[in-house]
Amino acid sequence: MTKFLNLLAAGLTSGAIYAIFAACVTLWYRVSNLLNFAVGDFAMIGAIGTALLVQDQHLPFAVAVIIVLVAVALIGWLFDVGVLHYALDRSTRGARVVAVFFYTFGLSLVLEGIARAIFGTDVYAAPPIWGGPASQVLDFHIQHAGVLTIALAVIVGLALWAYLRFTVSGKAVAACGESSLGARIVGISSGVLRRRIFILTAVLAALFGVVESPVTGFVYNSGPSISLIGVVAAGFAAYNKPGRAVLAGLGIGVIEALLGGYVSTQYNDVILYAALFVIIIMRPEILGLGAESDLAGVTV
Amino acid sequence: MTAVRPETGTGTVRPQAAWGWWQRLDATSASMALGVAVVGIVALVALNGNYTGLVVTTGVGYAVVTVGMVAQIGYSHQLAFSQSVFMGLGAYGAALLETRYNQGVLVSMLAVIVGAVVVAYLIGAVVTRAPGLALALATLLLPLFLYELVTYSSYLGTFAGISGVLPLWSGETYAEGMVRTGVVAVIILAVVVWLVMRIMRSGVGLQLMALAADERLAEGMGVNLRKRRLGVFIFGSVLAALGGAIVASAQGIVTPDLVNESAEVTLLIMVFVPGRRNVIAAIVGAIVIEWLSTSTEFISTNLPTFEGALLILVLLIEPDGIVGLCQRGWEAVRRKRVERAVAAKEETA
Amino acid sequence: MTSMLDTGTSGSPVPDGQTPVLETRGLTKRFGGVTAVRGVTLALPHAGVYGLCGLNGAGKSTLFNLLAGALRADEGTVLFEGKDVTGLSASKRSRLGLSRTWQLVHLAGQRTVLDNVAVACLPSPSQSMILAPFRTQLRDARERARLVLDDLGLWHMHDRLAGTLTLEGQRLTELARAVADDPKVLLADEPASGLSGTQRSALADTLVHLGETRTVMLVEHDLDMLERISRYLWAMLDGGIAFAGRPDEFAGTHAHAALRGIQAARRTTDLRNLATPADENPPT
Repeated sequence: MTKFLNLLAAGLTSGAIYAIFAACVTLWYRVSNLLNFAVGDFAMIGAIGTALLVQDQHLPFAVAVIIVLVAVALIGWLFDVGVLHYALDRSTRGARVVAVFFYTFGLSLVLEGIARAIFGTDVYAAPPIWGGPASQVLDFHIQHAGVLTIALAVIVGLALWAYLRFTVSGKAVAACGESSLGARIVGISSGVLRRRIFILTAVLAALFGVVESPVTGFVYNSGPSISLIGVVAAGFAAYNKPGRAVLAGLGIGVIEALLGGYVSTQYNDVILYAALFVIIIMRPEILGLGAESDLAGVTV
Repeated sequence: MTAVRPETGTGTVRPQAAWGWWQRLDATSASMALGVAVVGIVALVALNGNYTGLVVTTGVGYAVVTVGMVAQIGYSHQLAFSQSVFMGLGAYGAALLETRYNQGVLVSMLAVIVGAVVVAYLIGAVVTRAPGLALALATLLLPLFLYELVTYSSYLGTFAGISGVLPLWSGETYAEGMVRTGVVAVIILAVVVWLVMRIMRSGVGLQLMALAADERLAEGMGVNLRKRRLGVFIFGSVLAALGGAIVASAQGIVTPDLVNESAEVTLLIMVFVPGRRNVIAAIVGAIVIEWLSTSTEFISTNLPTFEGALLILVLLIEPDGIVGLCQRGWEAVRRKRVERAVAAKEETA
Repeated sequence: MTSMLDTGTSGSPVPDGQTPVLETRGLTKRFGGVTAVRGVTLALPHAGVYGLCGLNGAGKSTLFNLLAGALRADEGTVLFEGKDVTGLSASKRSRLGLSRTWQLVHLAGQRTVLDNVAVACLPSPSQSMILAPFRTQLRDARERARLVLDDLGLWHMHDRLAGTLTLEGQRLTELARAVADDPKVLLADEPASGLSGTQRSALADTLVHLGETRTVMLVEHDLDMLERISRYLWAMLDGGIAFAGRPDEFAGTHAHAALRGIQAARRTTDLRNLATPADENPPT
């Protein structure tokens, strides 16, 4: 039982980052119809940037975090203004499904390359926010960073859900995803919204990188695998509901941990990826893409 | 466009010469394949087994993969991210057969091809049922899956991989073996080029392009969607496996790096940046990028950054890559020339 | 409002004793709470051009798709040459000889018009990919495509790249594709939309030419074209047939008036007219 609870805690911790990525991917997909494969890299920048600023430059933790978040926001802004604006706002020529993946693939590569050049290939962890040894609750250990991460994930998930459901701006976001032309006709500027959501996504991801990295550790190429899990988790919520995406992310994290504990520590990820693959292939409807979706028929 | 009257036309098609074996070979495809073979063999012999020769041979292995991707992604618009996985299958398969089971090169190559057909059929039968985005996402998981599997499996050599992969055609010295392996690789590439060109220029190729343009329309014209999708998937995957085996043979070793998370993106860059619908562009792309990734320290470490930026640029400017840009350029020049001719005629009239 | 159900005096266009090539009985299709097509019964003989018109939302497209097999009916039957094809998919129906055109067409832009038509002419479309390099059917297919393009007078554009075609060119290529395998029935989905006056009359001539050897069912907004070339036409309203008869019987009916009125309103260039409240008495 103890083992199970410990695994559960660990799973929820790593699941929290999948969850938040999934929520970000979902939100951004609603507004842009693109998948963000660079979320993991923003988290990596958050984690490693903070670690370096605190350790090497001896800046106070809070200052370092703020600098990093601002930098990430800037990167997000630059990417949207420089690339996405040209890709999406000007004309509809060019590939659609390819765009879904490749723009953020490219961004991910560039971010990793720059990170490698600046940060090197070492593993980093930002200093913990809530330090101290792991607490013992009842019979199981839980890392403080883990608690923070999970709590933050739940809060952010709820906040995003509420945003989409209850605010005018959130409804505008949903409208953009449905039909950007229709949204524009009723006065919603989908380009601006998309930019804001992208920046929000980047900042949230970076924040989570900072919070989670004491538990895991980030290296310059940690991004892609967690991004992909986030995207897949978002898929289980049909790229539609951030709340469900959060649950899916947490679920995947827990399964990953349980597999590691009960089946094989080395091959837990292998089994996980295989399982996800099978689920997507057997039940592609989970991805919420009926035949009517214009991404169902590939137009490269 | 002038009004069309439904009168009996006077069109004629050039009468086809009797279809001797040369015509069956299809002049365009055959000459392209021959050109590739000649250029490749000359280059490799000139390089005489030095380090550049090794790089070029590895690049030729990648080229076999990218030519398959031209057919799969460029022409048939099947966005599957599974080629690096099949490269890994081919490379590790050949390595295992040759080192653990002491098979010769010919046997291991044939086994790789047959094995790839079987695996591609199994995976493809399931994967091609899913709509486009699901297929793409699911196949994105495959490289992660294989990489983890390969790095943890001691049977597969974990991080060190498997060494001792046989050259395609060994020689008395290392250099001679290198040249001979390269020549065999080039010949394989030439055959692959002929195959791909021939298919795309056949009725089936036409069906694939119609399918890529509009699936419902293609289905209405009798194209069997499932059969074609599966066929294309198997074709691209088998070529990827073959390419992987060639790379392993050229390098003499296969390591998990062949299938890491950037392997697939590298392949995509090799295809998309030069021109996803052009076989020669894909070959050049493979060799050039492989050469760049092993050249100077600065370039090879920062190559992913350049690749990412290039990918974005290609998408923004011209989805058909550099070749597409050139074509647009020539079109513009041609149009200007026509306009000038028309204007000149009007002036004299 | 008086009954809109004015019928022509000539009854069905199918001569007595002949099996219609395409026939529906009581065809109904619902989408949620809306009945798009209600109990439609019509029959088509083996040759000629026939028209289907109606306002947007009247059910034309739904009926069209039901006939083509793109939609499955909730009630009623579709019979092709006397055989029940209600459960058959569109591609199966097309193999039997029931072809359709699409309004939004994506041709293979990098291939010629000839090749784009040749796809529909392949002798054995299920040829295995392995055999393709060694035994191509493209030569035979191109020959058959040549005959089709010739017959439609389109040979002069056979080597143009499909991506460079004008709208008219695309439509005509699409038409050629649809008739390439010599279907017995051609369902044409608004082939004239977006075309100019001269282009329309050329298209009309082509359709009449096609109608000499097969049945052409034309769904169109262009009433002039329909009245000019149709042997018989149906007008839909609210999911049902409001008129069925010869074009010369069409004028003077309420359905005609409704459709013409909308057309006239569309053509008005005096914006002030649009701003004033609608007349009590609609124009006749």
